Amino acid sequence: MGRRKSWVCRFWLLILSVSFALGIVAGHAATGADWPTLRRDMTRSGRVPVAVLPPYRQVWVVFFEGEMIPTYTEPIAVDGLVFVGTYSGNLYCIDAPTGKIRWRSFLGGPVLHSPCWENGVLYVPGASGLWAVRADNGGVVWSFQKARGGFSGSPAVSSDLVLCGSRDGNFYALSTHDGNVVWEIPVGAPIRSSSAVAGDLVYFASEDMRVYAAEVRTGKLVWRSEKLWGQTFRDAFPIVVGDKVVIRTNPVLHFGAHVAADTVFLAREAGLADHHWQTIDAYLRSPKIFGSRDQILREQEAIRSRLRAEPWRQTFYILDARTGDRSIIAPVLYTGGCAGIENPPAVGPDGRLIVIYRTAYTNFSLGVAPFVGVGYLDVDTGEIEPIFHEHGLQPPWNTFWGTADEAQSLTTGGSLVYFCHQATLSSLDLESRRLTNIAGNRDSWGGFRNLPWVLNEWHGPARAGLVICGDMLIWQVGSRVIALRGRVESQD
Amino acid sequence: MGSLWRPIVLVLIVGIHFLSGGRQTLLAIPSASAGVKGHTAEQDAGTHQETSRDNKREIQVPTDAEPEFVPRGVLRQEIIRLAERPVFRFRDTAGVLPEEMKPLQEDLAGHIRQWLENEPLAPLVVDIGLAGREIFFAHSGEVIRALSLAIPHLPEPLRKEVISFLDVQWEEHFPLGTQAWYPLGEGKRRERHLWPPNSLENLQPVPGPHPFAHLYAVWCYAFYADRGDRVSKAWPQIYRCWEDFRRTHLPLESRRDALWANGYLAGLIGFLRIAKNLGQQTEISAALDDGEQLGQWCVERFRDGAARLDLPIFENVGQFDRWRAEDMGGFFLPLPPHHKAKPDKFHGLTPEVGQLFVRQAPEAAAAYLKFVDRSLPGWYLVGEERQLHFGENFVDYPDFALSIFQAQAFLGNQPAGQLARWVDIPWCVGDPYFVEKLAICLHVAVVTEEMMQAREPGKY
Repeated sequence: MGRRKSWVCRFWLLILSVSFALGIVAGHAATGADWPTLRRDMTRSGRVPVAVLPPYRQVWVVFFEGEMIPTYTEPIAVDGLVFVGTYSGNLYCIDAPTGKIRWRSFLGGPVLHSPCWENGVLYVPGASGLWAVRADNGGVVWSFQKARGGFSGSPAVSSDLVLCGSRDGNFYALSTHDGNVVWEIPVGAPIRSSSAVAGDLVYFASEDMRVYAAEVRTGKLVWRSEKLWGQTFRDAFPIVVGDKVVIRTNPVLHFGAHVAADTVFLAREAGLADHHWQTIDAYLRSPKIFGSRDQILREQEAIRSRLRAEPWRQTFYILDARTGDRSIIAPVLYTGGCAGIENPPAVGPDGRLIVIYRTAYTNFSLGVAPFVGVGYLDVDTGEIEPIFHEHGLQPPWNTFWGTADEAQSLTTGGSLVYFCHQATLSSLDLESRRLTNIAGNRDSWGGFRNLPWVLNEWHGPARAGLVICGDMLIWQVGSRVIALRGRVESQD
Repeated sequence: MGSLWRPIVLVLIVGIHFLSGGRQTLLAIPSASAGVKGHTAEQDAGTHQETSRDNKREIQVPTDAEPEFVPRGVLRQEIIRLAERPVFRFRDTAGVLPEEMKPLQEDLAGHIRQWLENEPLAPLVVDIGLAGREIFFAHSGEVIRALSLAIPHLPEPLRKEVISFLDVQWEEHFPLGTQAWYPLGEGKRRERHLWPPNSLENLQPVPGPHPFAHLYAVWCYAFYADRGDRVSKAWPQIYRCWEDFRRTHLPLESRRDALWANGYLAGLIGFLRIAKNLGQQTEISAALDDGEQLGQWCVERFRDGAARLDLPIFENVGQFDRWRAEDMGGFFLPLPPHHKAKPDKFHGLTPEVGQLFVRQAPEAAAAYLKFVDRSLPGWYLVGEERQLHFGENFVDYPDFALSIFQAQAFLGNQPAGQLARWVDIPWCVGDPYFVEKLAICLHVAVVTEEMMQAREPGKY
């Protein structure tokens, strides 16, 4: 096995080296070492097969003088180039090995989400429209804007179509060649979320709080969900796992109300005498947090019952990909915070989703809104298998911030789960259950001080995004892009 | 003021007015007979000039020159000039609107048509995060102001429908009385999402300004909807509103009034115009005293905030916390609860108040707009990621984009084409802020740069 890993590692490094050396950009498909679209693929898995392992070293940091990057976006990385858009309307191409800016292209208005790379062209959503930009030199191929509003979700590309919802209330399929509209679906409300594609269907969600599935080639609507609970799908994206579509909403009441009420509920379900912080703190410092299988299943059933009785508390949805049926209720209560946007899951090594969720049976709690766990969610049964780290009753400092009112994003590579918590980057090895700080620090901006023009933050950036390309971790945090290099080892 | 002083003041007023060439007169509200249909821009402007010239009533100017932050008398002159005639003076833009603005006009008509079809609408409830829930479009003053500003750009029969709708608001939700507040839980919901059962019970509006701030909306109704007669009949209520305001709110207090000060200044300009139309000279004189005081307060605060604007690098979170707990370098006004703030210097701006700031504090105006460019680049994107630099909230309140839009128009004198790019999309059906942004664009498209800048008093 060790020999096999070694050869696979060499193979990937060879691919990377050749790719970087030749600077190939246009005219071919993305490779396994690339991160060509939001969450890496059109199903929005957030997963690469190859883990980047420690030791890590910082290779470069790029900050963008006087510009801000939307906090919910990810860089895109293809063929040794990293692409980042800013509110100032610039799309940057950064040389991945060196961090040098290759080119910059002004797109007329704020770039509002991650581009999608396909066949040497970047499809970039922004306030001034959807732009097709050459990845090799930043030249504009075409742009599309039908009505006021622009695009704030990240597009998907499939069957020579760019598929993206617009803030103007339409979902568009545009020809990749010329930007002409091939079909469109009016939904009567802005679309602020990203789209996903699996098989012949495209999935998207609109601010009418419905999820839609349509045929990629024809635009024929296959199903439309009933109104789901939540204030907005903004910043969300459907994740297609097997025959299920998973999506989260921003809670219908402000997130603080949800978090506080759920803490009380979980304390009661765990048999605590009350929900005072001292009581909860004493509980969290006891072995009771590991629970028994019965306790864990009972808690999950209690959460489902709560969500059935008070459906407006639901922010995590599993829908049947072919019908939109949503009879499976995952026992996932809201976690998120700061910007109020919920923590999205990522696909784990065995195909189950890795989720951050509320539970009293966890040793990940750390912070003012405890009862935060990490687990595997089986989308077919709606059951969560909790994960416990190996470090005792609490995560070590700077390795996991287990508070329900702070934002995290997850990325998985091999057997690692990377936690991108505001300004801290860390990982959990799903095999050894070891937590590791990779970079950054709490209450910083990715381990750095605040930049004077990056004020859109609260004790560090509201959120941050991590992508993996080859042996590099590319981290968008606090309107900086930080590149770290580690060791590559295939785990799949 | 005692009765003995009145003749003296009158003589002074007449004398100074005579010396100034009689150019500083307040614009009268056009009478109901002054038709708006079919006017060209020149005709329309001409009508106004004529009205102004015909009006022989004078405005007093100060006699003492006690040095102050802004020299005494200067602001009085400014307010006279600003009240004299509206910047947005066209009451019908048909025939003068540039071709490239027509799509905006269609958007405006479309949105208003949809709005009226959906009435009665409930006020908008926005629950953005730890800043707390806030209710918008709950006061008829906001609706009257926005729709009145839109009237000059609307085609018939929509224009008539809007005026009829405004007449109903005027009668049933008189903007200076307690009935101005719409029932918060009644009507079709503006939010697109569902609400949990009982979650909208016991809604309480955020305390708003003194109704005096809505006098600008009242003037808009009189002028753009051609409802001077109705407004004139409401003079007793208008007078009482003014009296109550000056009794309870002057001098202004930072803690209570900072967010509404621009609105009060605008309200004063509305009051002066209405009073002028009715020949209420004594009230005009007293209101100009108020105006000088209000203007002084607003300009001083405007300058003071700009002098402290900065974008520091923080050594640690403690520094950041202290910075934001004050007023974030002079740009925002922190409000309870802890996570809430608003760009108060921009709040409630009108073209007239904007001109006052630009003329009295041009460097400050430029500094604020530079701050916006640098640190709030997505300010106009309604419903997108918060731009406000603190608070655990997922989005900024709807008035955030409107305030900065008004600042770009009235402080930055941005051209209509640029403003059009910042109109963005409505927050919801029946969005008065969307209507106001479109209406401002269309007004700006037909007024000249000279009108917007108006650097010299009495220039036109």
